[in-house]
Order: sequence, then structure tokens, then C-alpha cells
Amino acid sequence: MGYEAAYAGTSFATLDKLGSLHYGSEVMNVTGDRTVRHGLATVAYDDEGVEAQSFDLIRDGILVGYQLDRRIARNVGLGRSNGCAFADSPGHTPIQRMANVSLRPADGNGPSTDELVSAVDHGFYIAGDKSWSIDMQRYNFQFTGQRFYKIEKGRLAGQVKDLAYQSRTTDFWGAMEAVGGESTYRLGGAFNCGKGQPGQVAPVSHGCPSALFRGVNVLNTRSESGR
Amino acid sequence: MSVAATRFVPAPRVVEQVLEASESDGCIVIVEDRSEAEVRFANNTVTTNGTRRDRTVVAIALREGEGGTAVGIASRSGTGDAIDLLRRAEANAATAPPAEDAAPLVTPGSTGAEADFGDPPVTTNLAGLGDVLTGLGEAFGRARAAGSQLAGFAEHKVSTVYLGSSAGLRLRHVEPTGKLELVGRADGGARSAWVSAGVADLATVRLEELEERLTRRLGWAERKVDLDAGRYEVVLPPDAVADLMVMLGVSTSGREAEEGRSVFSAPGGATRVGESLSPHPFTLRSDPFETGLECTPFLVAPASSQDVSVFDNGLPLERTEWISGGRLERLQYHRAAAARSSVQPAAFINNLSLELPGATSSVEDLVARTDRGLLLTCLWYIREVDPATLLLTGLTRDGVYLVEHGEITGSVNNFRFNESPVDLLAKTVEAGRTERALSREWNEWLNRTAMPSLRVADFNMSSVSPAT
Repeated sequence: MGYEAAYAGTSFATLDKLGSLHYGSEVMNVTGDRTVRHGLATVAYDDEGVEAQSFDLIRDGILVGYQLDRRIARNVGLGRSNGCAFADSPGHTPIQRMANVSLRPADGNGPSTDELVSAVDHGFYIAGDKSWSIDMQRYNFQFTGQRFYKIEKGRLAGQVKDLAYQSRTTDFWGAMEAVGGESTYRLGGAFNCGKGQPGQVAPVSHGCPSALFRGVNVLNTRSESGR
Repeated sequence: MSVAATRFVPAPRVVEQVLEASESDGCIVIVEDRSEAEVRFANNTVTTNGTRRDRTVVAIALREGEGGTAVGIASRSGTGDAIDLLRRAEANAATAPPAEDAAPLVTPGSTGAEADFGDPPVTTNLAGLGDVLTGLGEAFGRARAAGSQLAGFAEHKVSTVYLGSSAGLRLRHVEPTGKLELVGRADGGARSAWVSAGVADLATVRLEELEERLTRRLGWAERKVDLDAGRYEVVLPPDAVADLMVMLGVSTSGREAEEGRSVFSAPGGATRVGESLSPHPFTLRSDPFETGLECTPFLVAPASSQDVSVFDNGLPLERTEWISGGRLERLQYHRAAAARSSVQPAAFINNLSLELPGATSSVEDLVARTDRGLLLTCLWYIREVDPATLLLTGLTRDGVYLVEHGEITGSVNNFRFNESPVDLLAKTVEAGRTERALSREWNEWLNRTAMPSLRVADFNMSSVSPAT
């Protein structure tokens, strides 16, 4: 919509792509949720008085929803707010920002992390996240991790270092072959998610199962530094 | 700016009340009164604006025990019972272990900040936005006529900090900060540019001058050139240099260096202090009295961290050269850590300047001496990838331009870069004169920067970003 053009930027997931954008593979299901137990963005009512709720953002890999406050919902013709108005104090105007956004695990008895690793002949197991950076339309991203392990013939084959991975958002999620089951699902989060001008800070959670991706570009960060 | 009545209990009185009520072995009180005015705009219209007043009170209680001095801290924003806050700090001190950063409290000295301790806080309002607020309407009209959209943010804020301690400190300082960021977009975002001003007083900013710079840059983008990822010679204007050098400045932790966790670590628990980082005699410094970058001349520490100690509250700050003559000169240490490492203490100061003595060139001069390269006008979403090399990743944004035979010949797609600011100092081909700069990435917490333009060889563009 252009309201964040000078700061956070804009998005490739424009309104005209709602219901048609192939954001990721068919195993990709993402929810926005302000009701989940222990979620850092969980509330009873948002800062416009709208009741907290859970809603689909991506279903079977297709973009199907947006986070909305009352003003944006009306302006873009998407009906009612889904409870995403946040103000970090009475001194700040409520702004529309993300709920707890989570990748859903596989239904039923989905695979364990070990089972996902066993499906890899040669690759890496990356635990945790670090150094997140994404462009101003959310295409190009680069992450590192907290721990890296080599995978050889379906087994962890020792810890390695100096890795980062880099991709385009839809390429990356399109390369997601499988998500783990409930046993692999973890709800994490941050207390200091910054948005807006003047800046506002909000706690927010992300839930995620283990997941298997094929053909992702993994970088050697020592080489990237020219060493 | 003006001195205005406030519904808050006067800050000097809060400081005295808390110190008088203290039942601990030492006490420090910090009161910061903030006044802010801002306007935000997008799509050629104002979206939000307002003014705000706020206060933060921090009570720090010290308790002497068998193993040393323990610290308890309590803080809150807004109004509230400061004595209740003090009691919470004292309760925290009662259960805290001895502090590893313990040192004698700073005593009244030579900061010169004591005389006005009883004065009220300084405030700002929408008039503090100068001509920016009144000029936006016409600027939107000019943008519409040109088929472009303006977006941006202007703010003026004033922090008045009061610091008192049981050792007799009574310090006050007023720190005004202003900025204007202006983005122009045309052709549905296919052409975009960013310009900015970081100043203490927005009355000194001429909106039309910034618009002219923006229009010139949008004009450069009439011709589009697609380039692949790779290593390029680049020209970085002062704002973009600030984006990178701020990260170098905040990476000068003495403790991290000694523990082997930093680009400034040397084998065996040593540091790289004294080592040459560049063939050019760069100076990277912080100075509370630097002209145009003046900031609080004493340390204000609401909490301790690895290089900052609450015990050092009120410590006079002085010009500190982190890099001098191209060599790493100083690292950050609080007094207790400095004593353990047999070095001088050094605290990070709220400004940062990079200078190559004798350099006089402008960014236009550097472009004119570039045979083929890229002009990177601003960088964004910068994060540390590897602390051992200070490798940073981030993106170009709102203006990458191709330079051929000394002239700008078009705009280029955006890139993700992976580069270290320490390496940039070594790879610099030439540097320009130091000018006031505003880091797009970091200006919310470090507005006061002055940087040269740099022409740098082999800048690593790791991949292409299709973002516009």
C-alpha cells in the first residue's frame, strides 16, 4: 500500500495476489494467531478492542490472508480486522503489525527430525537462527544459524561452522519438501520486534516444526569475507 | 525548543527525594525527561503526526557485603512513586551477588554540568520541525505534478537527563536531536531515491534542497542497467559509510576482544590494539564536544553491560580515538575492567566521526575519478554475520547507480552485500572530506555521525535483490 515505503519497505505479496500467489510448496501452512498459549503476542483484545483470533495466511502453499487492523481491513476491502492493531504504550498510535506467525507442523504422525535428516544424502542440519536480513520487498534473504551440522548419507556427520544460507522467499518455501510432526514443533519468539516511525517495540512469537528443504544456496562466510 | 511547565514532579526534586530516602550503602538516580514531535508521510500525504512527553526514572542501590558490592536496579517510565522504585532497587540489591564491575562512585568534578542541575527540562513541539511541516503540502504538490510519490519521516526530540548520586553528583544535560528522511518513488517504485538530514535543529534544514537532490537521483534512474552479483569498485557517500562504520564503532568491546569473540581479538587473549588496519591514516573518534555533534559529556548508565558499568555514572567523557593514524588505538572498558587489563577506561560516546586528515574531495569528485563502478547511496537491514571478521550483510536500497568514465550513466538493480567495515578501511582507494552524515540503518539510536565519502575496491555484492 506504500505506507511503509520510507522505512520497512513494501511487499511482493501484493493485494492482487491474494488467493493465487504460490508462496511455497503444498506442505506450507502458516497461521497468524493472537490466541496461542504462551505466545508473546497473545492477548484477549488488540489495541483497537478487536477480539484476538487465529487466521490463515498461507494454506497449502497459497497466500490466503493478511494481518489486518480495522483501518487497513476497510481500506483494502477485506472486511473486518483480525486483531492485529498494536501500540507499545499509551503514548503511541496503534499500528498494524504481525500476530504470532507460525509454520504449522504436519498433521497426525508427521516425521521426526531424525526422519527428516535420514532423507538427506548430503546436506546440512541448521539449528536456530542468527543474522537475519531481508530486502525491502521481502524477496532476498540471508540467515545464519546457531549450530550447523553436516549430513552424510542420512546421518549427522559432525559440527561445522562459517555457514549462511541465502535465497529468494518464494524459491525457498517452494523448495520445502517436508515439515516435521508435532513432536518437532517449537514456539520461540523475541521481546524486541521493532516497527514503525516513531519506533514501537512489541514481543512476538513464531512457531515452527523442523523442515526439509532441497537445493538451497549455502554460503561459506569466510569466503564471502574474501579470506 | 522551550522550557515548559510539566505535570511531572520536577526531576531535580525526584533525585533529591530518592537520595534522601536511600537506606542502602550507595545510591544513584537517573531521570530522563523526553519531549518529541514528529510527522510521518507517505503517498504524498501526511499519515501521522504528534507530540509526546515522557519520563524514565532509574534507581540504583548499592549494598556492601562480604564478597563485595552488590547492585540492585529498578526503573519505570511515566509517573509513579519514586520512593517505591527505590525500595524495589534496594530489595534487588539485597539478593544480588557481588558485582564484578564494582568501583568507587564518581565524585563531583570537572564536567561543568552541575551549575544548571535545578533547571527544568527543555521541550519541543511541532514548531521544532521547522519549515519541514509547513513545506510538506507544497512538496506533495510538486511530487504529484512530477508523477512521483513522497514518503518519509521528520522528528525533533529533546532529552534532558538528570543524574544524582550519594557521592554528591548533580549533573544535567540537554541533548536535542533532529532528522528528516525523504524517499521519492516513481514508476510504481521502479525508480526510488532516499535523502536525509541529521541535525540538532531542524530549522537549519531546507526541504526544497533535499527535494532537489531527490529529483536529481530519480533522474539518474531514467536508464536502468541490470548487473550480476560480483565484486565491484564502489563509491559510498557519507550516509552509507555511516551505515557501516557505526557497526565498527559498536564492535570496539575490550572484553569481547580479550575473550576472542571480536574482529579485534588477537591470539592468547590479547587484542589488536596498536595494529594497523589501513594504509590510510584514518581517525575514528567519538567526542562529546565535536562541533555539530555535541552530546552528553558524562556517562549515563542505567544498567551494566560487558563494557559499561553503573558505577561509572557521571564519569566525564572526552575525545576518544578508537582508530588513530590507521591503527587500532582504543577499545571500550569500564573502570573495573580497565584496571584488570591495565588499560585506560573508555566509554562509547553518543557520536562517531571518521576522518582522513587532509582529505577535501566531495562524493562528486570521487565519482569523477571512477572509471567503472557503483555509487551506493544507502544501505539497509545490516546484520553481523561473523564477529571474527565483522562480516556484515545487508542490502542496497533506493539508489544504486552505475558510474562509467567518471559519470553516472544509469541506475542498477539492488544487491545483497557481504562485507566487513574493517576490511573496507584496508580496501579504500580514496576518501573524501568528512561531512555530517545520517545512517539510514542506525540513526534511531546513533544520529550523530560525520563521515567521508569512500571509494572502495572489490566490494562484495553477494547476490542480486529484485526488490525496488
